[in-house]
Amino acid sequence: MYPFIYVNRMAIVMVFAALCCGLAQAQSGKQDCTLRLKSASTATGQQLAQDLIKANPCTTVPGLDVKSLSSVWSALLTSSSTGGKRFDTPPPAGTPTGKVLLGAQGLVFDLQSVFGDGVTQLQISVDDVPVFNIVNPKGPLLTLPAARLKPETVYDWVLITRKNSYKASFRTAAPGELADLQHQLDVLATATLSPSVRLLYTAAIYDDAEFYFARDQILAQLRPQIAP
Amino acid sequence: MTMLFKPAWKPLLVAAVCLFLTNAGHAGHSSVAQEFDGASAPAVPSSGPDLGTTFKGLFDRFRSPGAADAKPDDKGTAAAPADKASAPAGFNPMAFRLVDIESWSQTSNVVLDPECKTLVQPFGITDNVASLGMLAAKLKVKSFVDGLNNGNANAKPMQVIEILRYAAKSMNWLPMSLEVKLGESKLADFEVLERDDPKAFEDYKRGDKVLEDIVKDLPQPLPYEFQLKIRKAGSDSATALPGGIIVADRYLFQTGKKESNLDYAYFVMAHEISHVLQRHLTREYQARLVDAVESIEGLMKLTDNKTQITPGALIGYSTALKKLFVNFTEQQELQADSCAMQMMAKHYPSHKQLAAKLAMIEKSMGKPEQTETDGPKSAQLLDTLKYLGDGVMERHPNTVQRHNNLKMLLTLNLAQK
Repeated sequence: MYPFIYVNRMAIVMVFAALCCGLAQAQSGKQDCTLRLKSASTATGQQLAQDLIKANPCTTVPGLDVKSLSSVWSALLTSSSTGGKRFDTPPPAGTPTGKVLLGAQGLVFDLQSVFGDGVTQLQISVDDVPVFNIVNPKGPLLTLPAARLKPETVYDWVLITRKNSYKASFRTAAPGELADLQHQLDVLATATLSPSVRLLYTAAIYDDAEFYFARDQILAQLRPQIAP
Repeated sequence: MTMLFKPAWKPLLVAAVCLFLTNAGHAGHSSVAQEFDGASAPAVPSSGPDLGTTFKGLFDRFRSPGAADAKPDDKGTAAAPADKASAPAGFNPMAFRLVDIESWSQTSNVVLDPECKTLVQPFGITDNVASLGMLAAKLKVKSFVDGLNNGNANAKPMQVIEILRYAAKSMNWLPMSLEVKLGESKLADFEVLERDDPKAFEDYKRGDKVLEDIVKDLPQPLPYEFQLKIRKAGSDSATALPGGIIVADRYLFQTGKKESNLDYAYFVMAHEISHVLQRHLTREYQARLVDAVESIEGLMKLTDNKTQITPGALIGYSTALKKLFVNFTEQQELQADSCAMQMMAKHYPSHKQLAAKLAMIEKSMGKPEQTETDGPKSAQLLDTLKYLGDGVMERHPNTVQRHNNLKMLLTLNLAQK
């Protein structure tokens, strides 16, 4: 009787240990918390990289893909000029493309990079039906009111300056896409981080959720800080 | 500035061009498109004459077409040299893939085939020498090339620099292997989604299908193995890199509600593939290298007569050069549109169907808008300096030019039916 109980207990302990070990391995295989960053060329960039590495991404914002953080870092270091032969003229920096988030005020077209060329028209349509038509704007910042933009809709836009015409499209997010994003932003708000590292985390959260326009706006804000 | 234009710099550049030319015979020839009127290509050695970087080597290369173009046979082994003495029966040295070079310019700003009659530009030195022969005939210097091909030592020697310029302007000489490496190094600047990324699975599936549809209609074998990469961000455009890498925007293959969007994706991808097959980027590198020689010469001529040097003359010279480059890139874009149109015509043999598809594509490209042409706003010095310093060395044709080009090609397509 005793040896039988003893053997049974041993077996239970061994199975339990194996399970724990397996779980631990599975967990460690599931999420790699090591941040691998490209080296920055400036001292301020290197300092920012060190600050970023100090925080553990797995605990700072649980669920955030660490790859998004390193990808955001690489994007920060890469110049916007990529070379190659593109089908059309790239949309100017500050104009929305891809999946976008709507702020309380709406969506901003920042035309500063081309305003000097003489902006003559910005037309925005849905399924070939114009919904906005702005002619000869007086300033470089054009805000589309949130109330006039529908969720989960593709908006095609054409921007015409005296020198060039540009075209692209953006898609407004579906309400369901925002819950996880907002949760991660809320968690980030409670973390103790330097302002620049916080911005990088915010950019990574947007990257993870494929809001690249919002991400790129943050990166544009950070770039001057690490510039030579 | 003075350092840049030191005379010692020029021979270095010439040597570099020469080195590329001689290396072209050795590198990347497993993929050289060498066609002999449908007959199987005669196998040629993978180890051409050891020419090194000497000018003699360059002359030899012109003298014996085929010797420089190594192409492994089916078994991956090298066979006998394809010189005239040992050429296999049925070998027709004039049956190369020829390009009738229609234009000639002192600078390399000319797109040679604006209607894209030749979808795949020749890549082998052999093919290119044949094309060069045609050009030479037009330039009434055929006797010289014939002399070279026949090994006639008494032929009037041409200045090496002239040959290099002919070659650099009329042929593709940048080695394929280098082109692929250039493309790979440029790819590092793009944020692309990996193929195993679940976010990109559907996009890659649709994109691969579009790529496959285009490639299957192209003359085979193709010298490139096209690779599709999908960008994380972006809208519905695409970019071609040297060596056959096409980077497509994430939303190019997302059809949304419109199935016609895949026709647009087809056209965009065909346009990009054309940039590769016409070797536009490579030719730009070549052109800048070669024109640099002429530019420096021109600049030196300008500065030879010290009494005539004025800031205005120098600025005028630089402005003219910049215009040439910008115009060159515009012409390349129009040519890529022409090639994409030719590919569409193969995909949709019915003219009516082609016209309908094209109308949808033109709509997706945006309505025709006339924008200012390239150049300074005025002849005033300040505007000219602004123009020179704006950093814009590339430009797309405006939508009016693009629409007009496509309309003309559609009319030609109807005329050919």
